[in-house]
Amino acid sequence: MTDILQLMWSGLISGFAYSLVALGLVLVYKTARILNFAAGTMAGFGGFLAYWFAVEKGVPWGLAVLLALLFSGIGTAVIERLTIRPLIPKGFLPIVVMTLGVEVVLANWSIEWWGGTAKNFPVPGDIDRTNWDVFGIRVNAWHVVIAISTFATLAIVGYIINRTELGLAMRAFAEDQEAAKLMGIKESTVSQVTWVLSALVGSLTGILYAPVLFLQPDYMNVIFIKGFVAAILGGFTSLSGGVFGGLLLGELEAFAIKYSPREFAAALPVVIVFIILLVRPLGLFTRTKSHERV
Amino acid sequence: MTATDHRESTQTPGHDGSTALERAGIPLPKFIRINHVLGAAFFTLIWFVAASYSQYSQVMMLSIIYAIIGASLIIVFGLAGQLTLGHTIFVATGAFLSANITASWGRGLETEIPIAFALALLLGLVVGLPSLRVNELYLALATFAIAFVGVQLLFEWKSFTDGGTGKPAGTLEFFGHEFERGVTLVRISLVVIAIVFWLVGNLIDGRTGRAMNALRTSETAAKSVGLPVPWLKVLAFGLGGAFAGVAGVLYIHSIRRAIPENFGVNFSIIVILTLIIGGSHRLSGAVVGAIFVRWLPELVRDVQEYEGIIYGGALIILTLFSPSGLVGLFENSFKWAKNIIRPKPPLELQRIEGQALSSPHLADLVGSEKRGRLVVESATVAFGGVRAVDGVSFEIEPGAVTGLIGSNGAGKTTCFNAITGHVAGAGGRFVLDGRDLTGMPIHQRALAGMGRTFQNLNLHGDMTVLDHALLGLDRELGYSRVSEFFRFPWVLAAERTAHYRAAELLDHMELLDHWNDKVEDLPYGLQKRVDVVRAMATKPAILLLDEPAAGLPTAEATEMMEHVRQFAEFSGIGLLVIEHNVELVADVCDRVIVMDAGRILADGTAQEVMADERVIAAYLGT
Repeated sequence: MTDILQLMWSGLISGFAYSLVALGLVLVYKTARILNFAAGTMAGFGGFLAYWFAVEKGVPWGLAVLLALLFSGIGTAVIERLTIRPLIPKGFLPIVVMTLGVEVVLANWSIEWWGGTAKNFPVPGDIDRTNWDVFGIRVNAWHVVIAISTFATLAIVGYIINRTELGLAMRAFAEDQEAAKLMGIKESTVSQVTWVLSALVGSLTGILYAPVLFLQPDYMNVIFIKGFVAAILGGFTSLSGGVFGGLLLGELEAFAIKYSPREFAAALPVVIVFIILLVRPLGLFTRTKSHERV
Repeated sequence: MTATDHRESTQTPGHDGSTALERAGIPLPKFIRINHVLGAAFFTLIWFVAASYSQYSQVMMLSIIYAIIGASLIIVFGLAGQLTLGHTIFVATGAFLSANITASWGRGLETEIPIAFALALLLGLVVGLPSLRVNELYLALATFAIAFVGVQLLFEWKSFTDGGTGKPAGTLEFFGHEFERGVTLVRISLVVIAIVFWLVGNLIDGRTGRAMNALRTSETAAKSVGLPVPWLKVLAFGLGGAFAGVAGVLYIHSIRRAIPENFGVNFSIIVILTLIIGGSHRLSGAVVGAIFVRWLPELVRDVQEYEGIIYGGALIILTLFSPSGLVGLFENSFKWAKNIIRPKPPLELQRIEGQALSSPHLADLVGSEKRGRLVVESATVAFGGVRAVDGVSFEIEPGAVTGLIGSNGAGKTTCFNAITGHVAGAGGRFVLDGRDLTGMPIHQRALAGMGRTFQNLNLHGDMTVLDHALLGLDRELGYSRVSEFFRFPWVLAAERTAHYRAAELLDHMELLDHWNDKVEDLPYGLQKRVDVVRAMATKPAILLLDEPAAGLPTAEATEMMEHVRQFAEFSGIGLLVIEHNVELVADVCDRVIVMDAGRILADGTAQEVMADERVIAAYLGT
């Protein structure tokens, strides 16, 4: 029993990462109908910025995190303005290609800046070395921080989406772009806010998981792929669906690694999702297809 | 032979014996084109230069390999518009097959290349299968996942790939002759790339290329002319995979070792990026992209460190300012310069009313029997709880012109969509000329004789007017997709016939002057006619026109409808027209059906219907 609970706990911790990445992806897809292939690299860049401030520049940890978030927010706003917004009238494919370009530039720039070797990103008080025993389950203190931060992030994003004027604009946009524009909602504002918000969520994920994963140029890419898979599981248009998809995937993976041949464990979740997609092309949590106008 | 010589022999009055194609100067499809000559000259040049610059053999090899991969991606991405991030899995397939064939069978390129082609083709078809079910978003992700899982599998499949250390290349042989690598390999690869380019070029110029181009810009419209869109997408993946597999064979002979992890998503992203930088709409784009990406770091050593940033940056800048890549940039500046030096006046052809319809190239359209008997039995479409079409039944007599009118939201377009299959889950029965179409997918209904236009046009923006007509004629081309690759004489003959026909149809709809214009550059009124001409070209039994006159001045609309009616009478087909312009409906239609709130309100001649009090009430509001 404790074995199972232990597995579930570790599945939950990776699940949180997938959930957060899925949240960022769904946010952008839902409001702007864009798939952001640079999301993983952008998140990793946030992690590196925090590392750079905290370790290389000696800024206190908390301040370093804030500065990293600030800069990744500003940077994303600039990227959105310069590369994404001019392409909005041109539709899905050019923008997706553009995010690939952004991904390649950012990934190479971070190698250029920080080198290709893995780095350890210490956390304050080395609490990631502290383990507690909770009903026979080994619980790492940093994992608890991750859990709390995830819930806090979900709550904040949920508040912004559901309770603020900006969130209302975003939801209106997700519902019907044309109608929203006619109501005087500015496409540029919505696009920018969405990108920045998703980048902040991404960077925070990057920072939270840097101590767990070691900082390498592409350390967030694996998480990013799984986040993608999670978003698919959730139907890609439902924020809560994406979050649940992430948790589900985390559990699925934890058990797959434990109970299936080592060789296929890593690929198994992707394969499962693939099969789910073939059976339910619109994801698990999307019920009906809205009709397309011809 | 001039037009005047011909006049005596042509009996048809009002016809001067010339074809629309000749008058407009539309070139006929040929076996050898200028591109072939330029390409052959370029590859020959490299052939001779290769020996003098043997220190660059490896870079040349990589450029050739990238160009072949680029050509294969043109099929998947450039034509069919499917963004794939797992493309290099096919390169891996070719590479490891090559290594295993040379190692265990002791055979050379003559076995490696065909087997790599065939197995990568099969794998490509399998990988393309999800595209039948999922939309573009999920497909990009599915290919992503395939790359991810594929590398993982290759890594674990040690008997085939030797796992993490990778498999070394075998000897370079061709029918038992062993070759040195270096310059000789470059020359062998030049032969391979020339053949690949010839084949892919023929595909681009043939019906498959045209159809894939169409489905990229509008799947809905491509289906409505009868193109088997799902199959075309899967085929694109298959063919793209096959040629990438060929590139894989060259890859392993050139690099000498294939390692599973090198074929992951990053490699796929680089080859996509290379093609987009060069230009994904042309084979020359694959070459230019490969040269840019492979030679820049070679020639300018200082930039090597910043390779990735430069490629990514180039992609960003080109996507913003020249979406058709470096080749597109060159083409557009060339066109611009040419237009400055010697501006080309727009075509203004003399047009004789009715000449097109008397052309021998449209002679087989003449319907001895009237067609287009459409029976709709209790058609029902519900969106959520709203019944947009609620048990509509009507019969349309063959060869008749019927109007379908009603206020906004009355369910007219939805009714159309139910008939043509554009709305999923429509209830009811639909029978055209005795054939039950109920439950058939869109393209099969189109092939059965259902032609339609769209309220919001649904054109293929970057294709020419002539291409739109040829798209409609696709079903009459009749040559197989295999013979298309080799451009056999019967392929050319069929293409030529189609060109003649297309030109006459354009002439009939007064579009001949614009045959070579991109549709997106045309004014709205002409775009509407392109939509109609595309549907006409499918040789329909019944044409369903969705608001053909909307947004047009009445005079222009009347003129267009007059041409459509002439065509319908000429070929004995039925017409069903949704229209708001009551004058136009009264003018053109023999019979008018009025819909309101998803049901039929009235049915009769225009006069009868207009006098009906319920109709007046529905139109003016009660």
